[in-house]
Formats: sequence, C-alpha cells, structure tokens
Amino acid sequence: MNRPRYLGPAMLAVAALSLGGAAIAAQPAPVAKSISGGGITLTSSTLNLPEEKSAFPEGAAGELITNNCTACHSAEMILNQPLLGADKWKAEIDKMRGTYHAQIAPADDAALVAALTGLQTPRP
Amino acid sequence: MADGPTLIERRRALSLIAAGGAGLVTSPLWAQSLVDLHLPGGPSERPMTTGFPGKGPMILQRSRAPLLEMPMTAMDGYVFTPNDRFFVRWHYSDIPLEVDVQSFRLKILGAVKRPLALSLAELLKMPRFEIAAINQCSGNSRGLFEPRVPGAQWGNGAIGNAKWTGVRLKDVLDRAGVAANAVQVRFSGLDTPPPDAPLFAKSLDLAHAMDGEVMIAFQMNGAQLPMLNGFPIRLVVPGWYSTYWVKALDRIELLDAPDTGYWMEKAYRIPATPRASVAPDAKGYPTVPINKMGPRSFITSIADGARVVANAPLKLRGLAMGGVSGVARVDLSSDGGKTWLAAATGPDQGKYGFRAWEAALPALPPGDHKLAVRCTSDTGEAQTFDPIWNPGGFMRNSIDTIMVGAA
Repeated sequence: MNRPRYLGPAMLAVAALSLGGAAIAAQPAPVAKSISGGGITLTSSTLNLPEEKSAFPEGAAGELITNNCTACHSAEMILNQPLLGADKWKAEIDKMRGTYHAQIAPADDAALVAALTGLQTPRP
Repeated sequence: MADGPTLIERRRALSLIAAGGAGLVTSPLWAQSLVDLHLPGGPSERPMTTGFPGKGPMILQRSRAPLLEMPMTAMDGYVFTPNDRFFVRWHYSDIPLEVDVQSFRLKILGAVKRPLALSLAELLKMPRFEIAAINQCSGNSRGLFEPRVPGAQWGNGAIGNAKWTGVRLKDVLDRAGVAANAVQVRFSGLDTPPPDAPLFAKSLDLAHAMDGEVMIAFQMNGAQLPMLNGFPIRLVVPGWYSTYWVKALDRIELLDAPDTGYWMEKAYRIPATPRASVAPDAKGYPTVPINKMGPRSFITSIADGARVVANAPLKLRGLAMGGVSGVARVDLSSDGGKTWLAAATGPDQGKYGFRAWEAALPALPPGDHKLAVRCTSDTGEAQTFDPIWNPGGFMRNSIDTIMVGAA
C-alpha cells in the first residue's frame, strides 16, 4: 500500500505500535480540531480500517493469485466474481496490467489464468 | 428471480451451503453473519460486517478498497438512508485515512480567472444549499445481470438517499471566475492511485456544473460525512450516477477541452442505445459516458424468500425513485406482473430523492408468489421487466421481483 497522503500523529502511533510491538508506546493524545461556520461544525477525522479476513486457498495456485493480485485489492474481489472462464480472466489480467500497471509478469499469465479458473468450482 | 427453485428447494440449498457439508443444522449465528444476495449462478453469499468505523452492519463486498453494500431491509421505514448504513465504494486502496479540517484546501484551477485554494472555513461562510438526492453506484445490481459480467458484484444496495447540505458548485466556480475558454470541469479527491495508474477524476460539462443544483456537500442528513463517504466534502450531482459524486473532493480543474482521461474516455461508458442495452455478442457500437439515472423501486418490508400469512391481506412498503424526475406512481403485482395495484405514495421530499410507498395486496392463497413493484416517473418513464445488458453491468433498472411463500 502506498504511503497515505495524510500521515498524522495518530497514524504514526499506530505504525509504531504495530512495528515495534511495544506494549507501552507513548501515544500522543488525539487533538480534536474542528472548525465552525454558519451553525455547522466539522471535526478532523481519522479512519482505522479493519483487518482483512479473506484469503485464497493454501497452495501454489492460491499463492500465485495472492502475489499477483492482492497488492491493489483484497481477495474478495476475485472470490466474489461469477464464473468468468479463461478468456475473461485473461482480459482482467490485461486490464490490471495495462491500465493500473499491476506488476504481473506476462510469463505468469498462463499459470495465473489456470489458478483463477481453478478457483471457481463450476456450479450447476 | 426467474423460474428458479422453489423456496423450499432454495432453503435446503442454503442450509447445505451453510453447513459446509458437515451435516449441521443452520445456526442462528450463521444467519446473522451471512447474507444471500440471490445472484444468478452465484457466488451469492457475503458476510455481514460491523468492522468499518462509522458503519453499522454492512454487506462486505470487498475489504480493500472498501466496497460495502447496504442491506435493503435496512432501508425499511427510511426515506433518508442513515449515514451509518450508506453504501461505500472506493476504486483505489489508498483512501484518505486522516483529514485535518484546518489544513484541508479545495483547489480550483485551470481555465479560471483567479485560481483558489479554499479552506473549509471559507466554504462554511458561503451561501448554503440543500437538496435531497439519491446516490446510486453506476453498477448497482450488477450481480443480477445475465449473462453475468465482471466487476463489483453488487445486489441492489449500492444506493442511498440523503439530504445534502453545502454550497452550490456554481457559487464556487463564480468565485474563481470561469474563463471564456472553459468547456468542462474535472473533479478529483484525496484518494491516490497505485504508481502510474490513472488518477480517479470525473468531468461534467460546464453548463451542467453551473446549473445551480450540482453542489459540494459538507453534511449528509445533518451530520458531517463519514470518512468512508468522502469527508470532508464531496460532489453531489443530483439525478446522475455516483461515479460523478467525487469523494474527499480536493481539486476542481476547469478544462479548455473535453476530458480525455481514462475514467471518462474508457471507464464508466454505456452503449448509446435505448436503455443502454446491447446484445451480449454485440461489437462496435458507439458509447457515451454514463449519466442520468432512471426510475427504480424496491420492496423493503420483506426480503426475497420471506414467508407470509396466507389468506390475509399482505401489507408491503418500500421506496421508489424517478431518476431525474419525481415519482408519478408506484404499482404492485402479486402475480408476476399480470395485474397491478396502485400503491399509496408518501410525501414528495424532492424529485431526486426516494419516495416512500405502501400497499395492501389482496389475500394470497397458500403457495409461492412472485411480487413485483414498478415505478413510473413524472416524465412517464416506467420500469419494465425486460432486463438490459451491457458489458459494464451499468444502469440496471428493470422491475425487481421477490418470491414469497404464503402459508
């Protein structure tokens, strides 16, 4: 994930906690900053996103998908797709690489398509 | 749901899925943690999550970048969607995690006489504007397309209605002074793309941007925007799909030529055909950027697959929208559309917002019944059963049906 544009004290504290694992990190008290006008007050905000819980099945195919696809999005995006077939999965790989510059080596395409189609158990 | 399995068959199938083949009985815990969106061919189940700050129970479509869907029953009884149930959709994973209201600036630049960097304090001092408007994802209900198409696999809940408070975009642009050569206005926010990927930016024609209804909102339903819905400010484009409603808006650029960026030229395009529909094998048709919404209507008081009391009138309620005009009428059917009964509509709270409706259907005999709801807009546009299809899975507004089992 890229460095967030607004890296404030609260986030740095979180980073320190998760990196150092120190139980007693000196966390600066949050500063509740707000501005008001015309009867409306807006207060500075932060967002702590929850931990991702979804993952691909263990094994080589799952690892290949994880390594090539989850830099930009979590696993549900793939797990929730309808049956797409090899051609459409290949088109998705081309789109992710062509438009979003996903770091997918073309040499991996065939194996990745096989892993993605293999992930989708045909439903009657 | 067209000619699918009977309710009992479907319940059995669900029980099997839930039990994971282990022969266990469906547990109350499971019932609380999974929701079935009834997407044809599946996968149809999604976990419910309460893990996102400022949000109540939401359907988890994707954790990064967040895609959170509102359960339709959460809309029951609400014309205005509670902020903590309002759907969430971000394109890129690098979304704003912290916003300082003192240092935030909205930049207005490009073909203007006076480039500006407006603080929130300055925006709060400007003349106020308020409007009720539905925010609906271009791909809302994509998961119901047949044949299915790739993308976010939404059910019907990538939609919400709010009362938006803020300032008219026109007033902000007038303050900067639109140059004579400006033709479009491009909007982008604090979310950032992966390296070398295109910035998420959307554009409106200048006349649309200046129509006095397009606005910059700093409140929804009387409270500041949740971070996940675009704090501190977002664009509101009444009647248009939410791809234009740029969140965490921090940059407005006046363009002297039409926007040729990826998100206008390649993405969010619809066929230039009636109802944006084409045959699944069609090729080479012209496309245009997605734009106005059409009429829709939803039953919110009961869910698909509900059991109801037979031989007694069935009270139903829900919500309807006209799109770019108000709701003229809402009709209900309990026989899959052969006969229709007019619903009573609640007060009109703005033509771009939801309108509540309620109806009492005549007593249903025991058995399965297909209920349908149909909205007709003030411009005379009525929903139809014909499903549309396009490769992006955009603009779905055909009549929604649900199955109920009367016993």
